Amino acid sequence: MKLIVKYNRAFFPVIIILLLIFSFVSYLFTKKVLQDEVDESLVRTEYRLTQFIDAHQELPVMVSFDDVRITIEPTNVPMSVRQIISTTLSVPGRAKNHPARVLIFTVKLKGVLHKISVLSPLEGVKTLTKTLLLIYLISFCLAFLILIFISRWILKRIWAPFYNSLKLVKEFKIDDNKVISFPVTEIEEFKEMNHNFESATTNAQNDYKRLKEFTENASHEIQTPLAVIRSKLNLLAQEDHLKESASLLLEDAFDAVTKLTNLNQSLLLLAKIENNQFLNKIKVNLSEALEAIIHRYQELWQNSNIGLMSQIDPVFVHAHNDLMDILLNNLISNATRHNVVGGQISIRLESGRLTIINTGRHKALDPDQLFGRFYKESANSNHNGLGLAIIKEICLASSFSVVYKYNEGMHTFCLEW
Amino acid sequence: MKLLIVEDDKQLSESIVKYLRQNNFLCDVAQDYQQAEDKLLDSDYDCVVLDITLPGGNGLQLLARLKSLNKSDGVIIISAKHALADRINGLGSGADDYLTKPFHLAELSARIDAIIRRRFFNGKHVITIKHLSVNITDKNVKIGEDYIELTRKEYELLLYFISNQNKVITKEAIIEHLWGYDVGLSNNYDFLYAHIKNLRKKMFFEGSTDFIQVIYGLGYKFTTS
Repeated sequence: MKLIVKYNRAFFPVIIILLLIFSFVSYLFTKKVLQDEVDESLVRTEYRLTQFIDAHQELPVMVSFDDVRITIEPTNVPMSVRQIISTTLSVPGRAKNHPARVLIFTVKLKGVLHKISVLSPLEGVKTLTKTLLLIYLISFCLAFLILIFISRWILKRIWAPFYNSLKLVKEFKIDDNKVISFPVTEIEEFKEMNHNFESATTNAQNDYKRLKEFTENASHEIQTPLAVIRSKLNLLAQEDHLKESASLLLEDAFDAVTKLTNLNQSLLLLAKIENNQFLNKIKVNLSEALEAIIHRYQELWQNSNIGLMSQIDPVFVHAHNDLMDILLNNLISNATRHNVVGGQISIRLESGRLTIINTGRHKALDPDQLFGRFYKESANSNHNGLGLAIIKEICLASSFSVVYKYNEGMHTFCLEW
Repeated sequence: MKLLIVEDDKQLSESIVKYLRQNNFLCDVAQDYQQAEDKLLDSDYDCVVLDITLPGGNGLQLLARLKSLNKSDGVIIISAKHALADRINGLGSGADDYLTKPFHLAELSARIDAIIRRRFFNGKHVITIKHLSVNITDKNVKIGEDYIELTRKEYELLLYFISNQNKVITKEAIIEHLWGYDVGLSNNYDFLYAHIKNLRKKMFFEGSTDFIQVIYGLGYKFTTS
């Protein structure tokens, strides 16, 4: 649920109820005030009547004062105080009785007690209150709509820094070297939030950077002990009269050192690509580089009876020279290593695209894991499982796309830029 | 031939010295910048094996110092750093070659040999072992008086063996030397067998004694004694 919806859901019923109550109270209040006005005019009429009676010592001739109707009748019950009550008034020609106020008082004239009722219809008041109620409701509805609009606008404005920050955090990439700068805001809460976001992202980036540097340094530091191990094994191999069993042990040790060396170099390369240490991009003659690599492999292919079909157009790319060499070598090495005796390799280099198709196992590689680190399709394979990860990283660093396809024993890697 | 090994790791420098001494090289060792500088000023070396990261300084600085002294020592850089920039810096400042750790001692020996051949024999050099003679300049090989026809790989293989006479060389080291480590050949030794077989056959066919001895499991030994 969006914040604004949540806010409206909490806010609007209260506003509506309050507005309704307010309208109703206003209605009642207006009605009361107007009724009081009528009552007051009744009292004024009473005053004028008593004045008249006092002055003339006779009952006035019954003339109608506006809407006011006065009736005088003799009575036996004296009233000490006047009475004002609500009543109804029958209007000739209309079925419904109209509400009215009546003031009753008694006056003694020449020894005779008269009861005088002054009646004023509330018809005008009723219309007025009704109209007023309508005006109230309409203006309240308008006010309500305006309120909705304003609250929406204010919410949007007030929360704008929040949504901006959210967008920035969403776009944040830990391996990006860019420092996120959050927009300045006057709102204290958002200031604090942005501050925390900023320190969290910066810390994450720094930690990640340190980790990458650590990987690189660790790889470097491993090189020297590896060199020592290899050199000692080399010397050990020179010992006279080495037993056959010892030779086999040495062979295994040499193998392991080589594997570790390759692994370490691959990890170092990955760390360096990730650390953006291959920024020096130049115009690389891809066709030439590819042909040089093919030349290196030709002997190997002949040996395994692997047929080569190649079509290489002159292609130049803007990339890092070393990375391109590694990329092409890894692709060709991959197509060779996973090939079968008597198989095929097809290499097609054209403007903006390199396609390498090789025969291999009759099973597609797992496209989700293929480019992951340490991916091996069989447990006993001899490579370190980093070749494709390196291909992927180089493609990323060079803004190439790489796609793997499988079709009936043919494995295709297609690079586009 | 006199060499200076500048390497701060004692274990590694000991191995290098031990291996190269057997190849009839005289080896001095320096473990830090100062020692290396003193030794370079004191005497002349045919080739300096130079580590880049050194206590008290940088191998590249040392290289610059050496060049400023107009010394003609050959220099091969050995470094844990694989970066191209280092390689270019190293070669640009006058090093003759660059080798990344961890290397095979046989490879180091072959590279030093190549530098010495290039610098001191001006490439005009004939190596003679018994009745085998290899003319480095013309790249031809004779058994007795007869020339034998070798492919490029076979020739490189022979030179590699000659640089590491009477040493057991592992199959891996040879493959790395001939094809590079990144070809993905590391477990495809059939490949090497074919070349070795051809080389032996050609040399043997012409009446040579069989120099190349198979060391079970490990590799080969070019025996001259």
